[in-house]
Amino acid sequence: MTRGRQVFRFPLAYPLALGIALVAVLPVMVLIILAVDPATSLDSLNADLIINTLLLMVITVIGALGIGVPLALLTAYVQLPLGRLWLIMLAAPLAMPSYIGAFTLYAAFGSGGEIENITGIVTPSASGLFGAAVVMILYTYPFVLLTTRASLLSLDASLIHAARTLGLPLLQCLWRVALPRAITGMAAGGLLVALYTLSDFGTPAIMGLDTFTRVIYVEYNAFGLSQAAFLSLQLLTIVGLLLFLDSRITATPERPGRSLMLWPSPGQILCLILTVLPVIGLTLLLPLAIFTLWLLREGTGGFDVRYAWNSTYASLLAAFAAVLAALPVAHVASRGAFGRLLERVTYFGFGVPGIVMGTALVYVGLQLPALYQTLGLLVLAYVMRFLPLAVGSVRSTAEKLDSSLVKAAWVLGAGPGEVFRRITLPLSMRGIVAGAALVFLEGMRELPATLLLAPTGFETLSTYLWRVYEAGYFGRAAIPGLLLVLMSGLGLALMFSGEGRAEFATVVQKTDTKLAKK
Amino acid sequence: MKRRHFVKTAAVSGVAAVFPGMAGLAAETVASSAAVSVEQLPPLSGELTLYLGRGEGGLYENVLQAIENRNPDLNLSIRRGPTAALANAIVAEAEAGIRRADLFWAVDSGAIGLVADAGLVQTLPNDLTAQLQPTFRYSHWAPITGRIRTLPFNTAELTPGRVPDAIMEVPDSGLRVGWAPAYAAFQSFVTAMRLLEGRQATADWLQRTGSNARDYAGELGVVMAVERGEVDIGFANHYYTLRLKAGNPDAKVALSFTRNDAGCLVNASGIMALGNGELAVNFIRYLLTREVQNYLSTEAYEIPLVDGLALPSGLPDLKTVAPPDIDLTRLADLRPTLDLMRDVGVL
Amino acid sequence: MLKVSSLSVDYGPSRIIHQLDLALVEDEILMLLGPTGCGKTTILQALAGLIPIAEGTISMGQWQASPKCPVPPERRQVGMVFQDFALFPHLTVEQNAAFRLKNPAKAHHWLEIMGMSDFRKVKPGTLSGGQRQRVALARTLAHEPTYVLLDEPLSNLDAALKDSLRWEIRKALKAAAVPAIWVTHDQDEALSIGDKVGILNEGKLEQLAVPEACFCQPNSRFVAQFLGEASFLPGNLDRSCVSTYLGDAPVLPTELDGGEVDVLVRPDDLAVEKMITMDPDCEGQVANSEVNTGKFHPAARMILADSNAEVTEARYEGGTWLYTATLNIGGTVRFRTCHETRLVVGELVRLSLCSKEPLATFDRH
Repeated sequence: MTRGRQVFRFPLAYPLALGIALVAVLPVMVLIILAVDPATSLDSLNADLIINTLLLMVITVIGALGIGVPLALLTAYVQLPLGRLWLIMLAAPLAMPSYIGAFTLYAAFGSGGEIENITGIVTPSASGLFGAAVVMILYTYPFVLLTTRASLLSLDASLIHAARTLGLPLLQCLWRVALPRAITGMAAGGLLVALYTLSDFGTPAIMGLDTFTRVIYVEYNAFGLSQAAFLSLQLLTIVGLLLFLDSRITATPERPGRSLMLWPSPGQILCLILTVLPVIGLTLLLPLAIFTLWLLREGTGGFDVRYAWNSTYASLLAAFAAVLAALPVAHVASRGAFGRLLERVTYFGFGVPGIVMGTALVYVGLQLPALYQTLGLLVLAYVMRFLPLAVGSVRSTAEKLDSSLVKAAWVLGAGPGEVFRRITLPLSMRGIVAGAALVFLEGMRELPATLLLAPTGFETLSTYLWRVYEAGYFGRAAIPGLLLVLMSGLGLALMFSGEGRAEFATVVQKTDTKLAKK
Repeated sequence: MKRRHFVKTAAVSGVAAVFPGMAGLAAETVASSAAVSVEQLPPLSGELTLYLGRGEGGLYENVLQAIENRNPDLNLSIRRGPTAALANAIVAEAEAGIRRADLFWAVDSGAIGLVADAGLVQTLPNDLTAQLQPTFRYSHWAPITGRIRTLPFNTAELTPGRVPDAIMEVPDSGLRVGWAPAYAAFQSFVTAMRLLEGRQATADWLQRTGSNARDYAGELGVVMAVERGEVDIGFANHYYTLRLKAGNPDAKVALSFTRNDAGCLVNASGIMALGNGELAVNFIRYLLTREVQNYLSTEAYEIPLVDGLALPSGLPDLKTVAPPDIDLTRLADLRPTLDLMRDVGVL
Repeated sequence: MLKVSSLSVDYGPSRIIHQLDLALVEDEILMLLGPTGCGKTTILQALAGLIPIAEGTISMGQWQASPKCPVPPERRQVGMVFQDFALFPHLTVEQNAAFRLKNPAKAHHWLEIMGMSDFRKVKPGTLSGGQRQRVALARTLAHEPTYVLLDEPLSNLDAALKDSLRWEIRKALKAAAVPAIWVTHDQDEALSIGDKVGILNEGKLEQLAVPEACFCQPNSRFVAQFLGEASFLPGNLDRSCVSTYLGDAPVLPTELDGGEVDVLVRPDDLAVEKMITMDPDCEGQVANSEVNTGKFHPAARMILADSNAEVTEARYEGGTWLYTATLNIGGTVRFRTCHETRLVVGELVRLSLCSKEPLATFDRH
């Protein structure tokens, strides 16, 4: 329900959204076709697998919310020294393939791990459900961070001020007043975390945890593509259930206003930074330290900076294309049940294990032989896989758009196109930027589709990382690992700079009025 | 500590070691060997696309790089990916009437079976297959290197004599066993057992062994667990143990073989030509040269399959191992194996 | 007593509030008035403890806040009323009013006083702006604050509603007997409601005094201009009297010791003589000039020579007219007439100072 629904016209929104949703769901349709292959029938599944899968998912979602929400509050409301650098570092784990994180954690902790080798201190080993959940949490919490932060920034501060002056302590204010209003952001982030956890294979495999994806992989590697597809579709019933639950969560519309700023003392800021450091330490510094250690032991070789450029280029294109595609889908999603359904449909692809999805995308790609194994198709594949990331962010901000602004532009004589270009688009920029950032980061770490669909010889950071990891040249993972973080950081900085301009504009406005008075 | 030692060995030698200089070749006095030297091969020129299935990727990369360095007119494009995914992609491409891969090099004979069954492969010339050991001659694909199923055992807990020399005796040995049922190499081994011993015997074996077994994600994990003493023996391909010992000569693990049964199955990585006729076949010839075979055996501890090559020390000799006689392409029939493993509850 | 000494507030590198001093006793209502961006809201947020202060102290009863030891809002027993009402949308009127109260009696009491008892069970979303602000005030007062801060509470409301609601709020604040600081940019509101008025300019308090003093005895040109209509006439000061182009007038005691000054002239300090009436129906109010529609009579032309200003702008205020005139010697003044005296733009008039009250003077820059 948006206040903009009566006025804002988006020509061809429905046909466009329908087309985009159909394209996005094509790989899933391919799975259905593959799954009905006559050969398949699978006996009842092991209950342990489902319990493990659901446990891992629930623990990961809770953990990701537990880390992501406080960090969202911190980065949204507190001005830290070095400001956006923290945000970038905290969001960067999203670009790191989680199997790399899992592997470094596994290598660092436990008896015989690097930490013991260097310091002599025996650490508990990271393995099993605990280890897998820790890794999944560390590499998915940025989903929650980015979506929740976008929600929090769009809240008007005066309600919090009111609650505080009525005597509610700050933390309780945030808990009782701010967070309930950011529930859609948190839900959107939690959903993405859940879907990612359901579809990830590498981490549970390295940590020795039996999950649903393992069965799918066993089937897939035994050339039971149809069985793997069939199992993936079963996994999609869990995805469908999650999507349904998520759609039950609705938020009350918010009036736009100036967002909250908190002013902790330098001592408190130091404490906050100290609590943030372990997260950055585990997600970024530990892998890089481990890789560097191996780099020093083994030396490097065979790396080409073009890999970084390839990654960045393809991911940027995908981010751009994904938000373009997300606009009509987000638009119809905020207008009614059918649009909402279209939007939900695009989420399904995100919950399918990457390698199965990658193969399904090969079938889709082969329908366009001229595009097969070209950069264009790779970008299309990224868009198909990561569209929900963009749609969710764009919709949540577009829904908050004040319809009177659109009306104002309209009566000033602006046509629908101009209204969109000059009003809706700039005001939705925060969500668009967040969505683009998510797609960009996921593109940077995407592996299966990249391996199968990129132009032959098109090496990216993640394919190179995978190659050296597979070959056991772990030292060579240091440079691409570092570059992956660096490129993601640059991409994020670029994207958040759009958001920065919006904030800057209000400051300039304030100074302008001041100067005018002089 | 052990994992790091393994890491180290895998990365020691580089591209240059594949084709040593002319002097090195001249010094080699294996003229009697049937194996061809790169010196005898025609230079390669033209375009080739290779789909390279994952596995011991790093060493294969060195081989490919060396071949490219040697043949400046060869324009080799490589697509890397998980073996099963590439096999599925090749089949999907064929269904859509598109062929992109000229060669498919897979670490798993099952993947080769899948592509071969789809009828996408060109027949290899007899003089090429004749270079391989007699039991490894196939018309549609060329095995490159072999890997032997072994029973690694903990040398602190067991003497070699305590390790069963028949796979079917393992359940009654009373030993603690480590295995990786989800691992493709293990599943190939079970397939071989099913083909050799029959379904029922295999089911019994799985069930009885499983009652005293610990699960691991992969076979390197199995070997490491044996070395730590978590289990007494394990089921794993031979090279994991050799690589572990190469990194740490004091590692408390050694190899043991069963005789003439699935327990010492020799499986192979292999390559097949999908198109581009002569050039693709000649490319395969390079992989069967004694230089490449020697490189892979000394660096990766893989078993050379070309006839008449001397083994580096430390590698088990296929003649003494007495592997079972089995057509490797039949191992592609994994489906009944998985069903069986599920029925028994080990998967 | 709410006491603020040498309060300064920074935003990033720039100082927003400079050395603010003020004190409020018992149930005093201080109106803070100033142009947009002068720092009014910043002061309220600092007094509420919502933003950190750079210098100075704020104290109220038990506590004292300083840059080194800040006191969080929840420990200040402060009440705050917001421009956008800030009612919790998911709570009912009653739940809002009793937000932090164990016993809702106080909430009911204040909802009753504000006339909102009938709406206890509804959500704020269904209320009008005026109703919402009544609920917000009831909520604030029900929590028994020791002082109340109001941030432009009426600026989102209709003009008709503003006038009645501002008196309701004043009454309620007096009934609650708490000191209050009320930020506004509406000078009528400031002058009529406040016990004291403070005028802010670029983060500095220009004047803090009772409303009459601020209006009649402004201590800066800024204050004079900001409160009501102000014109400045050049004049020559001689002790307690000033002589100007429009005549002589008494002046307030000043530190200036004679010479060239500017005199603050309010519209009501000027009398106008009509030189020529263009409209026969409106004749004779001020001067008995000759009337001859459309043409200047020779006698009228003579009188015209005595005019000293030309009307350049006329503004109807309902009951009165406010005119702007350009003096023959240059410069403009504003003056007011009753609605019966009708001048037209372009008309020549004779203005004179008629104030019996002493006028304020300022140094000529």
